[in-house]
Amino acid sequence: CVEGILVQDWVRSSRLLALIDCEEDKALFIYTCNKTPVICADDITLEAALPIKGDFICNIESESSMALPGADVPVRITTNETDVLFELPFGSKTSHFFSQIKQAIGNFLQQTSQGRPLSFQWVERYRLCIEESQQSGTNDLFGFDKFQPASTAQPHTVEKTPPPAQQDPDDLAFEDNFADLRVSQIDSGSEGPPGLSPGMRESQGSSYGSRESFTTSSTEENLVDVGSGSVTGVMKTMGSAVRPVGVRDGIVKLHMSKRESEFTVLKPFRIFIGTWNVNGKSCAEDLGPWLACDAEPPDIYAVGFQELDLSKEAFLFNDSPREEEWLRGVYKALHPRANYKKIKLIRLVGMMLIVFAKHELASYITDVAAETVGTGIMGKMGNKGGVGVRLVFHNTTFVFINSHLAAHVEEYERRNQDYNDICSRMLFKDFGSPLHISQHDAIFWLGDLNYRISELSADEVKGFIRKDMLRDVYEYDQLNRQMRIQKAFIGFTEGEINFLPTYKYDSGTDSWDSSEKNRAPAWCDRILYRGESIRQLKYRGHMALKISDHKPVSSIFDVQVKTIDEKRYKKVYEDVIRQLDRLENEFLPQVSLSKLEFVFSNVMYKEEQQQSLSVTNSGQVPVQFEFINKLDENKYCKPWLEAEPSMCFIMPGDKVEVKFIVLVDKMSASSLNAGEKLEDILILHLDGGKDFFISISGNYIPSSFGASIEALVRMHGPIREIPIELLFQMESDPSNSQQVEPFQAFDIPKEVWMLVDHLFRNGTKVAHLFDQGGLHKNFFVDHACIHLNLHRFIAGSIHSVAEALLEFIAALREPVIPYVYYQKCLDCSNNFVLCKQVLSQIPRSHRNVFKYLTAFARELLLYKEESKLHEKTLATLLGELFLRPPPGKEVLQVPPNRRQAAIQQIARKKASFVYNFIVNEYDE
Amino acid sequence: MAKKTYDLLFKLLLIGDSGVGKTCILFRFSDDAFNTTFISTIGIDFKIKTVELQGKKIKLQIWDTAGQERFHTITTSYYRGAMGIMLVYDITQPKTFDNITKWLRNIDEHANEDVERMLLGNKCDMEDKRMIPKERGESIAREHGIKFLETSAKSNVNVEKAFMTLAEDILRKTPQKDSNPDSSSVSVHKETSSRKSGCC
Ligand SMILES: Nc1nc2c(ncn2[C@@H]2O[C@H](COP(=O)(O)OP(=O)(O)OP(=O)(O)O)[C@@H](O)[C@H]2O)c(=O)[nH]1
Ligand SMILES: [Mg+2]
Repeated sequence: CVEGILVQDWVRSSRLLALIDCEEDKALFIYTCNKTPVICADDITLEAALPIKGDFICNIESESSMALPGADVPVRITTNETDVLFELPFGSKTSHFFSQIKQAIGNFLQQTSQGRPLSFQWVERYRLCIEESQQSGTNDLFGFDKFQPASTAQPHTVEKTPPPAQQDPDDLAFEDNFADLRVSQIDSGSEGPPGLSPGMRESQGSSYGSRESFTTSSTEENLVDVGSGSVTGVMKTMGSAVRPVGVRDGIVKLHMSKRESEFTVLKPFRIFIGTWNVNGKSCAEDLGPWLACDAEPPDIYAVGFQELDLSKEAFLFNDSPREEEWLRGVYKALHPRANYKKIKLIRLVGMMLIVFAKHELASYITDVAAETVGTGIMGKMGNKGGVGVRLVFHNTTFVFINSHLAAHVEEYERRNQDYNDICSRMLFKDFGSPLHISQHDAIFWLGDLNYRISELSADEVKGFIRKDMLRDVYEYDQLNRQMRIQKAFIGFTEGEINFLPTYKYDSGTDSWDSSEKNRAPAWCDRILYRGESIRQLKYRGHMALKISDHKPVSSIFDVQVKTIDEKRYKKVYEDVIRQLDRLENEFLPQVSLSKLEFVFSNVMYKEEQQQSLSVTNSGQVPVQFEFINKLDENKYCKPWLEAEPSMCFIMPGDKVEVKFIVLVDKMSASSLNAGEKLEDILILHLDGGKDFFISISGNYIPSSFGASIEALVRMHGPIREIPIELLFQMESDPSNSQQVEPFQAFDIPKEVWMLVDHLFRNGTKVAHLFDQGGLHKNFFVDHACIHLNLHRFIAGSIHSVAEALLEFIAALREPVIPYVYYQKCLDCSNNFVLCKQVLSQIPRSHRNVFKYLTAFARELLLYKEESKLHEKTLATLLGELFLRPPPGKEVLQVPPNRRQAAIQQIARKKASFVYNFIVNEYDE
Repeated sequence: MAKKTYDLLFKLLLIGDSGVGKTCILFRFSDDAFNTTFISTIGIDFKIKTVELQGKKIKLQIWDTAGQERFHTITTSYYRGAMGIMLVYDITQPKTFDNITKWLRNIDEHANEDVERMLLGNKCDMEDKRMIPKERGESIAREHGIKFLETSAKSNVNVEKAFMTLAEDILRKTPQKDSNPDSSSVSVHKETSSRKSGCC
């Protein structure tokens, strides 16, 4: 099991790869990390389960070199359905994992060749689970019920993480648009992010390839038992799970580093590197001949010691009085012509590294960090290993590694391994993603690397040295050989060695080891470097220091450091911000509309008109639009208007037709009759973007539908022949009439008379007169007749006429029983005398209509046999028509559980009110 | 180099009669460009621009409104979210200046009480067609206790200054939050917090 980074087009996100085996067959499970570090099963979600069978290919991408120690290993995994690229951390875990996969593939081939094909049925189960959860769109953590890793289920780690605190939405509203967008695109997986132009995607993809921002962090080992299967080991990432490109800080940083050359100037600085294995001795010697032997004072010192303290205390508790002693010794011996400040000291047992810088340069040094890696006993202890300090000097990153690698002549492979371990385990934290050694501009590696001279005896070596044939000896130097065959320190350079081997001397002398062991002299102590702008000036041993069995080594370098030109930095920075602003503006939702103004002319009652608006997503991102309410309104448009759809999602480049439907019905007719204009402005709102105002206007042809009884009785001709202003005046002030009215008002509206008269003549014996809706088409013909030509004979079926009558009564601006009498009528509905009393109070024209219609009802009931009408049915029908609750009182103020009963009760009261008048003769 | 991209978000609003140059002023500020063709704004649009003030990065989200009379009742509903309002008239059109009092009343009625206001007399490049002397702008601004500048979106006069002044005034009374420069946690929140729509 290994953790890695999934490389998608433009985003890297961490994944956990696990090789699961169940009986014979193996599969690779890929988990997404919901949270890092991964602590419990809830933190990961199964994303894919790939059975390792014939189509499974797992290869290290060859074109990327593995030359960088500590660099991630690109691994491509392909099956018939999948093709994914991962970056796995460099190191033994990955190679072990890799070899296990190879083994699994081999196993599969072997099994099938022996005629025992593997079923992989258990894998299918998981694959089905994945499909289900992906279809349902939820982030179900399926599979874990059977799959709970026992050893990670410790109670204290299985806590659910609290949801992340909400950011103050105002602060980041627009950032959010951006970030969300990206996240959702990541979710959309292999389709690739919608809405990004290919060029854009490419540039961001490549820029995010920068190792600076995305790397794996430290890894931990953990053994996990998984149900019936077994996992060999788990490594965890501490990087963040998903890194959407939309997060602007990252982008700014990235753009700045891409344009670094525009605002930096290279300036040379002098670096002194020194290393000495002091063999546990105390600092009893002047270090000046080693540290201050040059004319010019260096700008930065990095001084490393090994075997600073060989005591048990130092080994067990990492506690040593020698630290202070040697620090003072070094400090005293630094170049006298400059003042130095200690930047960092780091020690692991006997390995100590101190970095100094000239006082005046200290303020240009930032982001200092130090780490240690032990590779000694059990591969962990600090008797061997390395310590490192990294820092940023001006705009150039430096790292210094002081290491003490495994001893003994024949152990050179162990030394290689120690080097590799230090590379993969030395991670500098607190800088977003943890930084590897290889991620620095200038790398200096010093220390007792312990590589010896192979194949030559001690005497042969000494013989060459006596003859001044150092080059011949160097041919047998193990480090030289290992570097040449690329087994260690790949990419590093070492200067030519013109100094005597630094090991092993009799302490206090310059003479070779005279002990029984008679060790062959060797260049144990070395200084290597890596980086483009480094020039080595000196590389030497210092024979004058004698207290140890090693001689110290030092080297002087000139490094071209990128210094920031503040003015240019600011300019570039502003430019980057401006570009990002522009990008963000361009990425706001955009649509183009075919039209912003719509005119509906000659709109008539119950005659629908439609016009359409095309909305095209002309922006770069998916858009959701919606018609939103104006302030203090509870619908986005007037009652006679409808937009369809009123909310929609459009992909970039796509187009949607929105229909505007104008339909005046009994709900809206009366206010239009009363002079309200057919006018509205709709707000089309883009989610996360701008709003458009769409104007709708038109003219309504007044209809007797929706008019008031008072106005109707005063109109002798068709309503359309009445001047509009007069009509509005009559509608807005129905009671006051006399001065405008040239003739006597009718008793009842002529339309009512006409319809009833027609029904009376032709329909009294027709069955189910009111139950059976007439055909709609006929209805329109009828009602056009009603207001166009009064005297024309009404055409159409008798049922349509009946329906027209009901519609007409229902549409009356004020119901037959005016609103103010509504409650009174309900209250006295079971008392005929009281009912009559109320009726006598309502305006005369209303009373006339009421009387006329109830009389007609009584007439119909005379032909009960044929008309199949009953008193109760008619009473219910007319009750609903005559008695309408006043506007605003339509909704009953009763608890929901009693609402149904209340509604029925009111309907009963309405019916019984009318019933009184159709079973009894009534006259004033 | 690892600075936060911005510390604050300010919402600004441009209002004033149709044709005074609101859209042009915004376009000049955000894209440093100018267009002579008049396309009246039918709705509400916005642009963003990041500026630096007193060492703080401030994201300005500037809303441009439709100036046409028929939209006034609708546009007033957008006032509420604004922290700063830029009220614009055209120095060559007396009518647009006369309407300033009406716009100011609108602000009183519909905007947040503590909104920062600023008056701009635009098109000051057209000196020959000037109808409103600068002093009149100054005096009405003084009367209402707000700042005043004459601007030209066309020849880029005072546009940047106007926005910076307004932003500064808002910044001045913004309580300084204890900004914890924990950029990593901020980015996590950014990813998870829900998107916000509209201005009001
Ligand atoms: N000479 C000159 N013309 C300008 C200036 N600013 C804007 N204009 C012109 O004035 C006209 C209207 O400008 P807009 O910015 O579209 O007006 P607006 O205030 O946004 O109008 P609405 O969107 O209808 O509210 C355009 O033709 C511009 O070219 C300016 O500073 N000088
Ligand atoms: Mg505009």
